[in-house]
Amino acid sequence: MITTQLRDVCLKLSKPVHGSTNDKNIVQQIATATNAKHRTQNEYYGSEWASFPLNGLIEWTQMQENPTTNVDPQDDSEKIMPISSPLNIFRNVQFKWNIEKANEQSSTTENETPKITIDVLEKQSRKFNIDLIPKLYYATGGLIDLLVQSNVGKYCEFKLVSRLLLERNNGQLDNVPSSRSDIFNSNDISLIDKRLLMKVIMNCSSMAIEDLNEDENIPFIDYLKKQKLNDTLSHLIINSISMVDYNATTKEGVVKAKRYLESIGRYGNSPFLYPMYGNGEMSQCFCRLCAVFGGTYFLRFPLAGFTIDSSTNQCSGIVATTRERFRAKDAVICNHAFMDSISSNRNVIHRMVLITNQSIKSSEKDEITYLRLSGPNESGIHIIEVGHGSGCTPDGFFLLYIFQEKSDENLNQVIERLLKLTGEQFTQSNILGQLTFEQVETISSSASSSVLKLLLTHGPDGSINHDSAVNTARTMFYQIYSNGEEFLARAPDPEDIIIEDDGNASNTSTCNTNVEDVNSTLNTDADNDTSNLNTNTDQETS
Amino acid sequence: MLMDDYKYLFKVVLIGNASVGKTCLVRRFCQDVFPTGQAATIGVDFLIKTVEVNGEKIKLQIWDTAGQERFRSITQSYYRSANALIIVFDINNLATFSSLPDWVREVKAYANNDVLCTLVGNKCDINQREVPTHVAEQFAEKNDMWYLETSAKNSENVGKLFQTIAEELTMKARESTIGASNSGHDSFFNGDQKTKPVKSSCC
Amino acid sequence: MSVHGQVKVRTSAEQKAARERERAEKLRLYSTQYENILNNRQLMDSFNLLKQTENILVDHPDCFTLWNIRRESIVKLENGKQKEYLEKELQVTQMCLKSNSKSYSCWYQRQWCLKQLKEKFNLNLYQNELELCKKYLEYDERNFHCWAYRYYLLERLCPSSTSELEPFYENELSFLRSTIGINLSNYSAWHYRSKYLDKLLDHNPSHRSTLLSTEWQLVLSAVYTDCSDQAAWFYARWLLFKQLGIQLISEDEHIKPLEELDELESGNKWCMLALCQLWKGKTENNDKRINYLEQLANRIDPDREQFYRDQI
Repeated sequence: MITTQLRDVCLKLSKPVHGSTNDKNIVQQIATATNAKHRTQNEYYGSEWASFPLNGLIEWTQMQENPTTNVDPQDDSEKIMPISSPLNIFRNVQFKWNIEKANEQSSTTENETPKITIDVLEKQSRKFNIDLIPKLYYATGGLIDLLVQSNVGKYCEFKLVSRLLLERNNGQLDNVPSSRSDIFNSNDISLIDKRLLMKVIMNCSSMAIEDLNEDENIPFIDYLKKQKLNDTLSHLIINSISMVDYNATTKEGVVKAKRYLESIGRYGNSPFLYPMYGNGEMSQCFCRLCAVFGGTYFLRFPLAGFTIDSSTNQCSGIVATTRERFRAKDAVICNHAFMDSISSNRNVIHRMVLITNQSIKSSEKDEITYLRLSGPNESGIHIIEVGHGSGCTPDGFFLLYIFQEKSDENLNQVIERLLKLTGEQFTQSNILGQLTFEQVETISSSASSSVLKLLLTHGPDGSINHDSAVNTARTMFYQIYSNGEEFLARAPDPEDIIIEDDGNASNTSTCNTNVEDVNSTLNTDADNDTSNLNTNTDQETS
Repeated sequence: MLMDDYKYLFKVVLIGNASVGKTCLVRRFCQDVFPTGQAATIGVDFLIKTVEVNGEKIKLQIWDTAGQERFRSITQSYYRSANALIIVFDINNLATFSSLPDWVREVKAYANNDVLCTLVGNKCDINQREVPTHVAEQFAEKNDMWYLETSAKNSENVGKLFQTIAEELTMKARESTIGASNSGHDSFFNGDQKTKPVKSSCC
Repeated sequence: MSVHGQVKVRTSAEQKAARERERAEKLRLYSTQYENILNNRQLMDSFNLLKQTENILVDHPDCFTLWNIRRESIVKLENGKQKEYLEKELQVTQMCLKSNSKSYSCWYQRQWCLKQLKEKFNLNLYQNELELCKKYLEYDERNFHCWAYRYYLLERLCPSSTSELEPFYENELSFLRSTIGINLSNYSAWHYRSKYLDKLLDHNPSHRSTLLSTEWQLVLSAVYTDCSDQAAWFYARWLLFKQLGIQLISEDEHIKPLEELDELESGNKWCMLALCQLWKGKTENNDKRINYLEQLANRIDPDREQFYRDQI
């Protein structure tokens, strides 16, 4: 169990504290002090994956670099590997307001609506939850399954990404028709095209990849043409359902189409979910689970480096700038970013966050919108819009996240392109504030450092979902615990835990009425194996 | 499947320095036990207890800090959607009282504006008082909180603490629409409620 | 932080045992209460009976006898109290429906209440009931109890003045259209659509052909989107043969699109059968017709062999 992993590290330390950073929450990120290096007071969970209120975001953009403190080894048996400044993960961070600080006139006339000023927004800072790294969650597989399976889902809430848009030939934004009901209701698709499209969709869902035979490796776009789909519909499938590049193979296209189509219907007429209050919640949820079962969290920890046993070249623990040392028995996990200096020729993913007061497409209700822009000669650009209903903005405001799937050109033209599509509905004047930055991609770096027991996790990638983080976490877990322990087994519910030393352990039957939560799919597997927790508990008497 | 016929569900969250007795308060109220070992906190995520207010069933979902207060590392999401907050200190330990301004700051930063706050001076069974009652009362008044002294060990005022919170929240709920009402099915997607009920997660 | 076996987790066997104990206890309580009611129903006063039966029905709404007892009790109440208790009864059934939204007894009881309240006819009441139906249909669009109840309500709400009839029918058709839009396999929705379209066509004969044309476009959209969905095909057949009639079936509008569909989806039994029925009497298609019927009988849908053979 992931939580036991951390508990072991923490309990077998001489002191009950440790700081290590790693790939996100899944491997139980202990949000740390290393972040203090790039903020005078970094007190948040999640490092690169965090969400901020408005003021917090602005502070983050002004992050200061603190000098690293050198710590000497205490004797010959030990070497110190200092951490390097993580400032290099985010580069060219720029924040620009397009509105004024405060209202110049002290009073406005009856007819004028008060202008939106920076002051007005800053007063509502807390209502903003702005992601550095926004992500969507496929309803099946990946992180959602993990949340359900482990019961961490009880700590978070999700909303359906209610609106999926695409860029149409006529220069407008339109809904992506991907379900039978969308296609049936569409007035823009001819009868014959409806049949052809449904056929392709149903085939993608139901066929086994092996059935593709020779078609497996031909370009997906050619395969779709073979199914008699016209250009518009082929583009629809490639861009908005499979969401692959135009040079992707049929196998890649079908696999991703399947994922999308399987995810529709599980929670509603859309394949994606978005966490209420933003992606920063994820770190906190996993951390809470770990904490409940004994994990220790230390924000603002002043990490200086790693201690390495000279003779075995194994990482033995960490050292703080105060020279305090903490030993780890099983492993120390850390983000790549702290290990090497990030050189300038690494890939970068360009990202943008726009604060707006109008949705890119009008709607009667609160929507969470996803639009993927792409074309035959470019890789995808993800655009996510969230509003008040997601708990990420005050009423009347929106966040527009824009980022590249792959690192190539920058996003300069994207805003113009988007504004052309939105027309009068949404114009430049609706963009109140704009954050742009580059995020260095470390995903291709290997997970093993040169030092034993020091495992490295990578930072975010440009994909829309979390699959790579989940897979890395799982792989890393099994590297540390190869004794057959299950990765993130379901945690027991509070009422099933009995503390034995109580005089009258009369557990009044308190029921967790999480009837309406994501665990609805899990309610049927009542017989979850909680014996893992027992055995580990027993083992800890050392 | 049984459908609970409770009227409201409220999220109540405890904060305060380590070892002031938060977990003991929760467990005394929900399970009527007083765990003596250090193991008290392990596995205690939240516990639910139903109380009656004016003949109606009110469910309190009471959250514990899971030890994250030890290095001031409580997550923001812990405060989220809390309907009521209980700040606990130990009346026999002045340091736990001196830390209160820090806790109040966190509350202001992360909790809802209209969260119901209660200050609790615990361990009143031990007679080594370092915080006079009137001092605590003053602090509570200054910060718009109600003050109560409790003992999780001998149960003094524990029931009263949670019962009062339940009553206050119920009254507030009747006047507006906070808390999770049990009228009809709760959908996957929470509506635009000001304070959300806990975890109807995932779409 | 030692946890020397002090933290123990209930194993699934223990969880199960705990649940069983809880259930057994509840069951025992109910059985006792039930026995008590049956034995003493003559002696107990109405209010008491209503209270006691409610306790059991909330968790076990399909207990027919208890609902019977409730009806008896309410009827015995004096007039002033009756109305109050009938309205309360609606709330009771609503709670019971939470346990089982398809409980025959619950829906029946609601209908009974409305019937009893007839003298005190209240438009709001019926509108509320409609809203309730809508909600339940959102949870489960196939809840036929709910559909039937909805149509009982609509019948009661049907306006008497001619001018109001058309918008009334159109309103319902619009609701049905959006229900079908969500799931075009919803047989009940199509079924009731046929009923209301019928009413609208009867009421408005001058618009008949436009209405039928638009309806046919809807049907085509459905069968092209999902050619294997029988609900749409049944409706198509009804529309073509019961509403339009053979005389009005047009080559271009009706037959051709189905022929095109057939080319895209050869071997689809619904399409083939529809075409066979449409081609009846047309000499130029006769060979193809027989061929199709034989294919259907022998290979495609042999379970209904005789049915196809009869058509030849």
